[in-house]
Amino acid sequence: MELLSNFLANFLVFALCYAGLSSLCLAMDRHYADLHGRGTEPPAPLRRRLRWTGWLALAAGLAWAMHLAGGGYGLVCWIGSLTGCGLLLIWLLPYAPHQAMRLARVIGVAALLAAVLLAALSVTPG
Amino acid sequence: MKEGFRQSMAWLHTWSGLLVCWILLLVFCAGTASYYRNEITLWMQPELHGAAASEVSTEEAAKVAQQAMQERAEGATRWFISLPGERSPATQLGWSKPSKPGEKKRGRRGNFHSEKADPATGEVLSKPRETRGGEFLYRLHFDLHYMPAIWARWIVGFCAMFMFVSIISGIVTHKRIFKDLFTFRPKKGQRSWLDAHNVTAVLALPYHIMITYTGLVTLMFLYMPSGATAAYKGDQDAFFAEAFPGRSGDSKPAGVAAPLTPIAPLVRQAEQQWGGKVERISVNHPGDAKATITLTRAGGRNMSSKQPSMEFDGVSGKLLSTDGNAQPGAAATHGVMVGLHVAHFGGPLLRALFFLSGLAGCAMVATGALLWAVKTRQKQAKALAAGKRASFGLRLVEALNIGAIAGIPIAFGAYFWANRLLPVAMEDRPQEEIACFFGAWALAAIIAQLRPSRAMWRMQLAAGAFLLAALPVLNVFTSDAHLGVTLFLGRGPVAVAAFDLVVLVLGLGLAYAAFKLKPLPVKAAKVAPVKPAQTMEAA
Repeated sequence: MELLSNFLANFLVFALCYAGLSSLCLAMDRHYADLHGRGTEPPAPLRRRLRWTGWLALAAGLAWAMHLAGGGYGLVCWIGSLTGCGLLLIWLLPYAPHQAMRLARVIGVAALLAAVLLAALSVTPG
Repeated sequence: MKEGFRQSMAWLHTWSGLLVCWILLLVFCAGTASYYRNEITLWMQPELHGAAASEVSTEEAAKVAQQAMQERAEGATRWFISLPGERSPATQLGWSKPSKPGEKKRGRRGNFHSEKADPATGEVLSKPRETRGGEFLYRLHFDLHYMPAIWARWIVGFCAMFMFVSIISGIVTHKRIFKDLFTFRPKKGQRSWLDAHNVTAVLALPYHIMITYTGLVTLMFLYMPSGATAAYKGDQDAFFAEAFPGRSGDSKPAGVAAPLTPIAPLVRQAEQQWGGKVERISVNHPGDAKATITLTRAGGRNMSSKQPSMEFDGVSGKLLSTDGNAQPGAAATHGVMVGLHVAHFGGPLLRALFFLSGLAGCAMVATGALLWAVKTRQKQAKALAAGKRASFGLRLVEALNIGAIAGIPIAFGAYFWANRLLPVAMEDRPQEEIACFFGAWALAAIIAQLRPSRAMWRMQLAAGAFLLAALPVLNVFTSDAHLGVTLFLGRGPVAVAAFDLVVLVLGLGLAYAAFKLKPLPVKAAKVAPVKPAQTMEAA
């Protein structure tokens, strides 16, 4: 059980980072156009939503990392995760843009599930 | 300023980077590997793979170690004991004896002996083959080789300073740092190299700045002694005593024999106070009335490289002093910086992230060097198309690039192959392994100078790919802990399995790069820039 919650806790940092970065990325004209065809731009409300979600996910990731491992250590972990997730995202984008974004959606949902599961695990005694 | 600020910064970035990039690449590669130096050393000593880590408490291990030392280290002036921990399965016993009169003194440590012992029984583990293992890579990272360490540290420090200048000027030059954050456009020649350089630099930027700065800080007393000299009026010992508390100088023995107190209860006492494990035990003048015992806590609980320690009287077992529970601000800062640099504090996950960021650093340096060559070749495209030869500078840089970017993996590979193929009983074995490292590298660098061509890239990348990717296969024939056992049967040390997998992945990356460098159609070959795609992912 402890192994599971440890894994989930660490996974959550990565998931939030990847989902957040992808969301911010999709809010940019160039990368939106990569997905939806040349010259397309994200409509303003969608762009705003993507930006908000992105920053919120990143902030939540930082808060969670700091909660897990303390201020300094958490910060280092979070920055490292950003680097790792960013490299993965950028590597996927030119070769498989749709898959990269699908992965972001899947990971975002997985992050929510992980958070719920973690909450449940911390409530149940033992 | 005739040109704009940004242009002059671009100039600075180009030249400060290019001048030192090949040494930096070596330093980055060796440093990145050093995150796993214990694991590398373990891989390089297959005799230890079988020795299952026995589960012993630190207290028990300390007791066994003390007995073993009393039997074996007769007449030693200092004992050093490293108890088994997460990353090292065996107890490490070390002791130094005073050198006999007439004997040539060997360095600062005098006559130092060290051996690995079973933590449960104290028996010496079957002597593993002699190798410097990951320690060589760690030392290579700041002491280089074949030269006095002080010179090397000055050279590395000089390069690190240039790197720092390069990073800062690079940030200034990069106009679209946020807009281009996620941009990588492959198969576009020069554009792709620039993108790759930007991506690896910007995404791991906090790491690059941190590692360069803290790297300079680790050796700051060598580079900038004047501050300390002025404040302490030249009294170096006073300065170091304050900056690194807990390292009492060499006290004189009393010359009166007295039995050493049992260490195990002291270990229990210290562990109770710290709530953490003891890792190191050192004893000054064991068996003397003035003996002292120093216990140091295992790392991994906070970021600092400095861990608290306790000093006990070696005869009565009385606590003499504690250190490191509350450090002065500057010392604590220095400790955190050094700790960040060496990443001893991190668990496996964080260390993996540091390793990844380190690889990104290697890629940044490599792509930067390639970018210069690609750009310059573009500038000379007309002359080249007219059948003229590449300029001396371009030819030199291209050859150095091959020798460094494709040559370093070859050197690493040769080092590991030598470790397994050289006869175990060979004299001066560690030196021979290191000679293989530099021999292979020198060979790669020299033939690259003779013919710096696309075919040369392809050949050297393929050689590096083979040397690294075939290591797991070599491991099958030379160790009991190969992937077949570690992966499919789930036995044997995880570190060895991880080493095999990582070199396999790196080797496949190099193979991919070599594959992408298919020979060009004859006509285009003359003007096409050298383009080993994705080398940076693997280098």
